[in-house]
Amino acid sequence: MMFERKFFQRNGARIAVHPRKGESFSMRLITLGGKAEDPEGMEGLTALAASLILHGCMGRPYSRIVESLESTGTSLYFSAGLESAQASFWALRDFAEEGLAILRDCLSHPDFPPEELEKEKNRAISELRRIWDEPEEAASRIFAGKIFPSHPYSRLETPSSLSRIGRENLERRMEELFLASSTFIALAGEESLVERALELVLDALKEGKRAFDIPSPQPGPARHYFHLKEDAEQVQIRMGHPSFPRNFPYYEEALLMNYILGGGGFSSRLMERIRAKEGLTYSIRSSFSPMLRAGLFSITTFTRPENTARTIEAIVDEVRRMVREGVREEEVEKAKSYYIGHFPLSLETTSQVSSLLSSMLFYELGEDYPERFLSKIRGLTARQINPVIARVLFPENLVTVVVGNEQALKQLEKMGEVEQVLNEGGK
Amino acid sequence: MEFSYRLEKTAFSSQVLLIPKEAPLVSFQIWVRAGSKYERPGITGISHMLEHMMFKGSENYGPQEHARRIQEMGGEFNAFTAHDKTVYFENIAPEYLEEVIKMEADRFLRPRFDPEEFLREREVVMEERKLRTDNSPYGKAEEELFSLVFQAHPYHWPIIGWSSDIENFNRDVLVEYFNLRYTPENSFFVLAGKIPENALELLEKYFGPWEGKRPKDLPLPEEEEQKGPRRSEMEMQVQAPFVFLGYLAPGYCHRDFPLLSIIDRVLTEGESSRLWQELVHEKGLASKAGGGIYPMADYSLFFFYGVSAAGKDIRTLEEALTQEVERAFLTEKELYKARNQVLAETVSSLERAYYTGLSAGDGYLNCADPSTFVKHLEAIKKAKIEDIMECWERHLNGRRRNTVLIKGKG
Repeated sequence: MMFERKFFQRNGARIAVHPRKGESFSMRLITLGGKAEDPEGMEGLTALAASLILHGCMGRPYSRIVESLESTGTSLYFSAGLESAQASFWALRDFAEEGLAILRDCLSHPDFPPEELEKEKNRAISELRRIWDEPEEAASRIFAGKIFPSHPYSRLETPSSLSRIGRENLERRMEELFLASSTFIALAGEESLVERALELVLDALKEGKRAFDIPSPQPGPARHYFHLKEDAEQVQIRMGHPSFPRNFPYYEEALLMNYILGGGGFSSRLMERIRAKEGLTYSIRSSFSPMLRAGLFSITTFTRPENTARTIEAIVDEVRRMVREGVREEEVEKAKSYYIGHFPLSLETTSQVSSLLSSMLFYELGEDYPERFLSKIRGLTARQINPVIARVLFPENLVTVVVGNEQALKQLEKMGEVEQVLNEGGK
Repeated sequence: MEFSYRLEKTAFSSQVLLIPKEAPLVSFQIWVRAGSKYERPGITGISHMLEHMMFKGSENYGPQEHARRIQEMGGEFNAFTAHDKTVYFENIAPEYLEEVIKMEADRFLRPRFDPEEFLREREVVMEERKLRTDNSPYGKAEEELFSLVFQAHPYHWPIIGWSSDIENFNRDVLVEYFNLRYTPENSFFVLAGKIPENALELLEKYFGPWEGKRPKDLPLPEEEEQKGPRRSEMEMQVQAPFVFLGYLAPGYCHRDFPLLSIIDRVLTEGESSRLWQELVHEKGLASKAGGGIYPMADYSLFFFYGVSAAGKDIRTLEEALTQEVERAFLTEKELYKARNQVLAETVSSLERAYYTGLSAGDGYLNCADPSTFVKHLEAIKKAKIEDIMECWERHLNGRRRNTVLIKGKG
């Protein structure tokens, strides 16, 4: 076994523990249910509920709660993804119990004070406005909103959807989240502390189990989206399409292929072609982000406005070539070597281990996943990977998002129909 | 909290800082006294350009081959250029240390600096500059703040360099700069984590022929005491106007530095910090507010920012931010919190060999003492409220204030 770990179930919750002596304690809690379930017209509900958990509980005000946590150097964050809500906890060993008691109180009895709701809504609306000032963030937001066409995974919060959310919506939403039998807890730290942590956290979970009934999104047609930033001296580009979920039986094959295509830094074909050979960018990478019901394939880069079309064409060309020609054995060997070498190095801290364990639980990867993962990687060859490529890469379905100036728009228009995306201010 | 180190000297006159600790890896770092402060107008950014060129091949390795080899080991690698230093690092399984040292020695002793690669990489650096600065209102504001706070010292110009300097870089200047600064006396090694027993022998074996003295640098200009507030306003295509405040602060080794770290935590760290509580939560003037210290050798930059909330006036936010920052007072509770925050950060960074190496390296580079970060923590534990308040009043006041305000166009 690469590192010590124990798995068990208590009160219905599935738990993984990595006992480790040391000065820090880390815990991650994931519960089924995320932003994709937000009712239409009320996008942002789950994220707002998660962020407001610490904004008042059992009569204690937000300022006192964060003061208590931060006074001991403890960090505790609640957040929401598309399919799950999470709590990330890190503390010095000697202060962990204090922080966990706060986690228990707030998770089990959040007050959602109306004035805090108003403040957080206003802040979220302000943040939506600010995002458009940074081209990188703007491009990522547009991409997130367009990549799963007409599917809940691409519904984003807007000022109007946020403004519709009331306290009763938050309370109802919280009833559905953090049910014990749909919650996964990973802990790393000293064993005596782990026991105490579990007592406190399990005390906060409600009984019950829930389903997550969102259909899997399918890739749509290739499309071009553009957002105009008149004074932009650089063009941000995002490309991608929906892809496989985490339980896809050929996950490792796809992982190795992506390393070769654009995941492997300077070893990747995209980096070699777009940066090293053609000098079009400083950085380009591709990745798969598999989730429970779906996944995402994405490519991220940037270039000069005059090189917009050339860069996009070169990317499409490389993706097509990958589907057409597949990978070569020597490329596969290098990719394997990276994952086999890197995996053990990525388990240095309690946070890294608890993060891995929580994913193993949430995606039901099995207790021996680290060993199985490495053993599968070791055995893969180009012959096994190549038949998988056409099942995970769809060059003719690539959605392209560009944020840039007029010159970039003109270049994009030459490549086909372009849909312009405006920000919330109508610009 | 455990931190211990050993300092050795190689036969080729480099210092080696060894920090053995339990870890699945060893972090191998080469620190060179080659940061932007050693440049001059006309070649600003050359340290950073040189860092890029170090990945472009050496006598026995092709362009990017070094990087590819480290990836095949499953290792992490990179380099970064700062005001006072350029640092190259590899985080790898200990059994690969020999191969890594061999590759590093090849590029430090026998770099290629291929002329065609040079021209291509110059374009890449221009794109990097656009990404971080020209195309980012926050990057632009940060560059402006440095230029405003540092008027005499070379911290005035950006690490990446002015655009026109990057466009004019030529290979000869780069080679000259490399020959002057990349010498064994002007560099040192850091090894942190699971260090193989023969590490020093490996350094002797591959870096043995490395020669060169420490360059005789002229003294750098000192900043004069600021005699009144300075201000810069820029119009940009932003929906959320924002403001930066900057104050000249003493360097990393100065006795005031730990006290300033306390003030930093009180004002900016977390959601219970004063700026967050007052400007974001209570008054709702900002959607974000915070700050920090850029620690450097000769001086530091203490900065704060606020991003205006929708429908709120940026001038009102500026006024409120300035007031919070320059209001010197501190409670025992806040001091207790700041101490624990610094302790938690230190424990957390000591969990990783790489960060341990970086912390120790900074202490050694700037203060000739790898344990400076631990001593700072000790000083923070002992700090008295009246000393912190005195420090606060002396450094963060209207006379020494620098303001950069970014407003929307039209």
